[in-house]
Amino acid sequence: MSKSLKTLSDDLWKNRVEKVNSELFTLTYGSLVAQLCRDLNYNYAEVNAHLEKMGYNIGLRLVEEFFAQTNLGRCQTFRETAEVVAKVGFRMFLNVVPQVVGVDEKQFSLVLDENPLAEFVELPDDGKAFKELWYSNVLVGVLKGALEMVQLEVNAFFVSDVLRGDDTTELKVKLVQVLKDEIPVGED
Amino acid sequence: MSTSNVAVNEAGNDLFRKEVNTLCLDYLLMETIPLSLRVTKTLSDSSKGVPTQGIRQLKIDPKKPEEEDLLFRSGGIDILLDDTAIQDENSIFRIESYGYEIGTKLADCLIYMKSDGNLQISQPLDIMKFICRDVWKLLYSKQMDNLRTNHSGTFVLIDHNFRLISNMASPLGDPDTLKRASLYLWFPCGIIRGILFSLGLEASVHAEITQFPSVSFNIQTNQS
Amino acid sequence: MAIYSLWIFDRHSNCIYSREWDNKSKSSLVNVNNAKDTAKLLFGTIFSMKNISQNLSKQNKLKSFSTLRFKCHFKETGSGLKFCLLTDPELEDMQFLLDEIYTSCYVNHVVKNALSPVDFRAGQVIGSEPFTSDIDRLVVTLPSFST
Repeated sequence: MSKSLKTLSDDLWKNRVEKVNSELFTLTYGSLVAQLCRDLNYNYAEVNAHLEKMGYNIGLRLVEEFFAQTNLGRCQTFRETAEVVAKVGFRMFLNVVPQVVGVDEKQFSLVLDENPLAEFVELPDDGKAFKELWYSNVLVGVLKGALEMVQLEVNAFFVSDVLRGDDTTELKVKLVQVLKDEIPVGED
Repeated sequence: MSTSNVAVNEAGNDLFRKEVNTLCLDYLLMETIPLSLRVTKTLSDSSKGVPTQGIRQLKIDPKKPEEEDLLFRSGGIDILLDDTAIQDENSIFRIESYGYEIGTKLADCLIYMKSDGNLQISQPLDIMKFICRDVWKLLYSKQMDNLRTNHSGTFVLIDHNFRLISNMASPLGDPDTLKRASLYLWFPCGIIRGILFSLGLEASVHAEITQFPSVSFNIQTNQS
Repeated sequence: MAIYSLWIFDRHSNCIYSREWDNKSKSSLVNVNNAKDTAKLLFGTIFSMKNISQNLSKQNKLKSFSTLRFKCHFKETGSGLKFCLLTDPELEDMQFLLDEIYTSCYVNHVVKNALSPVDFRAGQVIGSEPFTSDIDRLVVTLPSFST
């Protein structure tokens, strides 16, 4: 299963994805975060919230692009979901493959060895950012939005970030509930 | 090929070898406009003393399972349909300034990328050509289609199929599409203004949808 | 007219789009009957057929089903979108058309459209005109369309 996912994502990346310079992307995102911080008066909790909301909207759309290009169906288990998110999702959009750790049927963690959003970035030296800002919080929103479209309500959050001086950048995803497939009102 | 040459090439190309999917950039740029609108609203709400709600409630509240809104989040376009948010002058200002910031940073990066020692872009016309060719190619995968000038400080840049708005179609019909697309145009205006400023040129930039999806950017520099 | 209509349902079981092709009617039949019984019955039938096919074999996926008067071609995406094309019962497999409608029309005019929702509220439909024109263009140029 793993091998076929890798083949699929390699093929996608090489042949079907339009690519752009990653520095441009990093720069655009960085400019956005910096400006958000200024506009919101360095209230990092608010900045995190806005980044997440923006990511959520992006995730709702990216997931359709994902299905349109991969033609995969829904995963059968949460474990499988973790594999597909890391090996195909991250690969086809960000060209990185995070490690999947701590998997069980209710949660998994993604450890990013490379993070295109944060290349060469340094957090502001105001004593607060290191403790309160999650720079790449847009990813949290993207995962929440994308997984909700496949009927998985999840809680996602950063556990550690190398920008904060931690050893790794780790994103934890916890399953809250599986949303039931709805049927029209009045039917049974 | 000597080893030292190879080393230089690798170091030089290292930064530019990394790529991401264009869609990431496209959607990020697309989402800055609703983000600007939301931030404007948050700031104006808090200054009026209205409690800011909605932004943090991304969890389904178990006490209110029948709350329909939580299931139908409609992909973020709610803020775009909020007319008060759109007509707020602060919104336009904010959208433009998000573009401006990105533009200033972009200019530095692009000059570096293009520096082959022969870069000469001090003349306004050269700067405009730089924007038409290099900047546009990078951001929107195509060059600007037309560049006109009256040779006294006014430039008009035309993109016949502007990627940021070319897929827009409002369910309320064409006039509505034009109205909302015009809001989006402040963003690339800001980018252009930022780049010009970085290169030493002060200008004002306005955009107009001549015939959807063709857009013309009108640049007035402070030169006679 | 071998192709009768196209219906799109989302993961909330709402009919977010319908397009009927009728030679005789001069009016545009886009999103006219979304809330009517036909749409609900169609959804119910598909829902039941999917359940039956899953119960018969775990890896099963519904592709199409036919009656005396029509054939329903079906495609479901991972995101819960359900595309149903109703055609003449003799028509061959139309999966390629459904794939094309999803990957080109839906992605271009709904997903990439900043002014369109991607998660629809009850009663909201895909109102984008270019979406309908693109679908018409794809369908009308098929040889099977005007048989």
